[in-house]
Amino acid sequence: MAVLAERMQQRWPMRDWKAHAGMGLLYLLLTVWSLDMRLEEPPVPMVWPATGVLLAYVYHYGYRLAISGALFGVLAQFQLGAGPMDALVLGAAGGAAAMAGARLLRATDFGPRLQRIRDVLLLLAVGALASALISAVLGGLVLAGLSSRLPEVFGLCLLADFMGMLILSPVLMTMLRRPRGDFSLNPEGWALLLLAPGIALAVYSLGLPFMMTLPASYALFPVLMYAAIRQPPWLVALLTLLVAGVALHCTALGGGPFAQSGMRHDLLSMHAQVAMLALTGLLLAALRAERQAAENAARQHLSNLARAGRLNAMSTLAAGIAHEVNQPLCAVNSYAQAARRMVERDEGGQPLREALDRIVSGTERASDIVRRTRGYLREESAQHQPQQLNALIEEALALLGPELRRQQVTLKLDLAPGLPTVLASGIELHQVVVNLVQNAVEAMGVSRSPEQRWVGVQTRLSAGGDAICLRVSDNGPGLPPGDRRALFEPLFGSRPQGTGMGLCIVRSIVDAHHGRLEANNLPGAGACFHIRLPVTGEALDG
Amino acid sequence: MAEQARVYLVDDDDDVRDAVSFLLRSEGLAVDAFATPDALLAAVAPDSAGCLVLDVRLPGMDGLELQGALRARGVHMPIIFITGHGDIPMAVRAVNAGAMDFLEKPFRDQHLLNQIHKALAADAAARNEDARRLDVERRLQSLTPREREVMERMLEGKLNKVIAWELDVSIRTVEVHRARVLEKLNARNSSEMVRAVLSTEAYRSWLL
Repeated sequence: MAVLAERMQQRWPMRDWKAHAGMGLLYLLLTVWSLDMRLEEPPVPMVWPATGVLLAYVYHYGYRLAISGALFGVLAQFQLGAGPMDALVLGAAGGAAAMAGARLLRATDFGPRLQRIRDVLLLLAVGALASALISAVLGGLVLAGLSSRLPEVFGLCLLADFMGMLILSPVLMTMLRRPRGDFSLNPEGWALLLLAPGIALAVYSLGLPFMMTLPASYALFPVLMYAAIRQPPWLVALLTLLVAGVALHCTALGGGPFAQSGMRHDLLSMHAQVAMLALTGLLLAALRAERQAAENAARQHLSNLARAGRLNAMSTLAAGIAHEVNQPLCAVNSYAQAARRMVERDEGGQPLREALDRIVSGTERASDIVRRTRGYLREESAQHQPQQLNALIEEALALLGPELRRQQVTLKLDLAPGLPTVLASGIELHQVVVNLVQNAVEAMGVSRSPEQRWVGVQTRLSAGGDAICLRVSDNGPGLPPGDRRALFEPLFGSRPQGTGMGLCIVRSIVDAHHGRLEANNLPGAGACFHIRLPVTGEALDG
Repeated sequence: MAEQARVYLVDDDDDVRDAVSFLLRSEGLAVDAFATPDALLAAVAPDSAGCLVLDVRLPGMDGLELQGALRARGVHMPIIFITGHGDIPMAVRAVNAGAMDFLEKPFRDQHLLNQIHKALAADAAARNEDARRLDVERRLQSLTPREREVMERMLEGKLNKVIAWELDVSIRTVEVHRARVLEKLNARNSSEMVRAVLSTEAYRSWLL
């Protein structure tokens, strides 16, 4: 029985009863509100929000909402004094309009979060327009019949429907899409939520002189633009709705700069401003969201690229690292076998203890190397934290050690003690050092005898004390003449085995750390790369 | 024997060097361990006895170059190379150039000890051989010119009467010289004498 009851509840139309109820409540409240804006003749409200509400709910919850929407429409029209037949047609017209608009939007790649210009345009030019057309044609026919007034009534209905859509469907679309209850705002959001309707009330309801209120009404544009740039689209849509609601309502009641010569004329002027306000906010918010999405994609792309670069570097370093792990293993192996012989001979005491101690320290050394390697390859978001640059450099050089020895390159390390920290991602700065040193080693590969191969790594505090300078220099053939900036372009690489991304990745990382990267040739030696990283301003240590 | 036989170990990795020294010492071998090829070259001489255990990848000089430098200084102790990952081609070349063996790290202790004992035995045998050869060369110096002429003809396998005819002396005289040669060269018979003499530097070419 309980199962049956549950099944019954899930059956249409019991499912989503909250959505049905919410929509009905909004529908009725807004319809009552719109009555204040109804013209004497023809009896058409200048804003008809019901269609916008239906479109958003039907799009979000599905077509079955259109049926209850139509029922609410019939109820509302009946209460407003329409004949039963008229009420029936008008209600059905609202449902059909919402269904058609939602159907069209679903056929496109419309995104209800309105985070692309495309979404805003689709909503207004496809969904809202189709919905408004259907609603207006049927509404016009009911109100005016096939008389000479049909075009006028049709035009007014179309305008009222479209305005309702413009101010209501964006806010409902974006807010219904939010995860339940997630309408948290930062203080700035709350301030805007008070400020924008506040300005609207001041302009439209305080009865200030026309000379002041007309210019003041335009003050809402910068407020809304600011919100569009800083706040999520749903808040922008909500602000638009509140401002438009205040402005339209007050104008209909005869307040504000647009209330001059009768409701029809006043509200038409008001509509123009509201429409521009809404479009400005929605398009700007979408533009901002698009730019943010592009930036995120670029950042993700860079992070993938950097990881590919690390994998690439690691493949070159792999032989050296294998050797580096093998050494302690070899030592551990020898001690263990010596210890076994001692135990077999029943020897013990100090020598056995020493062997065991050395086994422990050898395994620690090996696992250190493994941890370092894994740390270099891990795929973590590059969090910026205060870091000791010198420590990062030493870690990276430890990774490069075997390769330097194999290539018989001397390391000239000159790290200034007691440097302040830099705000950085450790894993990314590792990569900068690895890439630059690897480049230097490879540049010298053939052109210098082993005694002449060196790589210099130097850190210094800048003269002003506000930055750390890292220099990586070598004794190779130096940089080719020509445009130094081209060095850091993708695919510049001159080495046949390189990916051409090494220096490009270095530059991107340095940029992301608000640093500067320069390259030149040292007199009497090879290339030199300078990196300047701003310090965090935390206290010096050591 | 000039010196006690030792194992000369060169590895630039402190842990590995300590570990291998520890293992060998715990087996009662005398070990001299060095971190660099130069330190080894400063410590060994042609009369050093024992064997060499060398890492093929060393700072400043690879295993092959060190092998060449040792040979150039007259150090002929057997060499066992130990190799890390990926140095196999170099180890193969080293063996082709005369190294006794190469072991890949980490190695089995028994294998290393076996190879070291084999190398020490080979070095001792070579040193014995050298000592014998030096002895024969010293004895050759004591031959008179006539005895040397007889001895050289004996090397050619000539009969007493042919030697007598060639030197224009009596067969009896040849027999006396022949006995003196065998006595001076400490040989029981002529074939033992021939083998000893042919092992010396001066008469090696007579083999051809």
